[in-house]
Amino acid sequence: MLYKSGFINQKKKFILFLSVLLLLNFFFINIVSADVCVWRDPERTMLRLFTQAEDYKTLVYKLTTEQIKSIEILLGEPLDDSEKHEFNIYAVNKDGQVLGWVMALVGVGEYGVIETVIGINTDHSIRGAYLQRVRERKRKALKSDEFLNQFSGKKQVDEFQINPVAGAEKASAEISQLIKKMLAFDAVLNRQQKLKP
Amino acid sequence: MIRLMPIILLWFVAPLELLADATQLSGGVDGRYLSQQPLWGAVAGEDGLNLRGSFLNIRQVISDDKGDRYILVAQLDANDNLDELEAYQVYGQLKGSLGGVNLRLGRYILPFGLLSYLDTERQLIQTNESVALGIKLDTGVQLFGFVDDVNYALSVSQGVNKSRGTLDDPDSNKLWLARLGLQQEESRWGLSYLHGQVATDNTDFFRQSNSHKQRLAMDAELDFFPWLLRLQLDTGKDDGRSVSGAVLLADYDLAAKWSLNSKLSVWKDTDELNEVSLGLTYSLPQNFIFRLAQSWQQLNNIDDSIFSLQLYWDFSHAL
Repeated sequence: MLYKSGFINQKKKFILFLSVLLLLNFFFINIVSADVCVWRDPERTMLRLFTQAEDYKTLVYKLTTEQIKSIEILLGEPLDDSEKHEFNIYAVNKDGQVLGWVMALVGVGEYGVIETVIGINTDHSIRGAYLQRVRERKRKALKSDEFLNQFSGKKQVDEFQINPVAGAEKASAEISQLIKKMLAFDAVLNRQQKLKP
Repeated sequence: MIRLMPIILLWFVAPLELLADATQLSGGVDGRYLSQQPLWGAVAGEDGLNLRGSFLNIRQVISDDKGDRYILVAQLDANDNLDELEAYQVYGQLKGSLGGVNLRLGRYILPFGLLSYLDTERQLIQTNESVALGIKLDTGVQLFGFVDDVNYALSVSQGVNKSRGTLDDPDSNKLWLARLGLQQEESRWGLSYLHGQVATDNTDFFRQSNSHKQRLAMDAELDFFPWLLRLQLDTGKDDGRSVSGAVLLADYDLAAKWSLNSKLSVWKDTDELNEVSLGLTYSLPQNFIFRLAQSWQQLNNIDDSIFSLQLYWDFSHAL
């Protein structure tokens, strides 16, 4: 009897768990599949990219179908489902003047996520790139100035001919693609931004 | 009815268009199977299948002309098969300029040791606060920020760890806490000091008591790829009695979606508590995570061995 009541209790708990999971998934799966990405230490990264920055403002863009289409045309390939919902751009400023923008995007390497951050100048060229988190075997070479400085000055319209890190070709390509994506997001979402808020 | 509150809340909150500059809704569901009741780190009756918790978190950023200035965070947890509703972190933050001082007021995770950057609430292998500190979240005021590579945090809080969270402070003794940290590219280090009365009746924690605590802790996070090591050494006093302990969490990245997790901890006060855990994490599609772990706990001469499984799902969405 005890076994039986215990079994029923377990069964109830299991059904409760599945019900909540399915219910939440049902409500959110079509509008939400964005990764819960915690950008650790965003302020330090912003100061690394814009050393004279004093403050920043978060701009949240909820993507429309047209914007997604425009980004995909610029990119020449479809966005991942998780990238089609929203995108955050951080406007970095000093004395009320926008110095540029910072944005971050997460990709997947061979050993885990690669969190890539770029700073963009007001002429929409890349000011600098930084890898917030990378767990690849060649991560020191990937995080090196020698590799990341190749992206400096690039604009969305430019060709990307990046020398990959030897032994980390897949991760190099992923980082390059993430940066291209961010430039496409910038071109579609951010070009209409006025320089003075 | 109370069990349905989080779902009803989800229903109403999802379509809201708030006036803040940026509002983020996130949430998650944490289901577990435990082969038997652990000696610590779980409430009574958590063995077997259990909806350990689900949570909803709303984070709202309000900007002024210069930038993001106010951050409001509210998280509601429904734990133990939705039986217990609990306020998790609920605070308002006045954000300083870049590199400036931040002021946080409300209920927050105490910036002590590894807790200052690592929250293992929704993981099978957890940090050691349930044994070593007697408190994790508290209501108070915190100043924090960074200067170059140095992080700092100062906190004054109630020192009250109640099961469901409360604003009542049965004694007027406050809990004082300070932490200094050093952030480097591949590592971070911290030194924390805590002093004050801690009243714990939360059954998630090993000991329910009201004691005067002093703690000095050294924490470190070291990225030795493929290892990620996190370490905390504690020493101090509970009501004048010496206590000490250490915890080592070591994660090993096997592949993009697979990682091995482990824990080794020792704690000595009037009792001696040791734990060894080995686990595996696999990231599934659509933000699902599957974990399993085998833990061996020892309380003085009593041993316990627990096998646990977890299916976890979370989401984040801009409103």
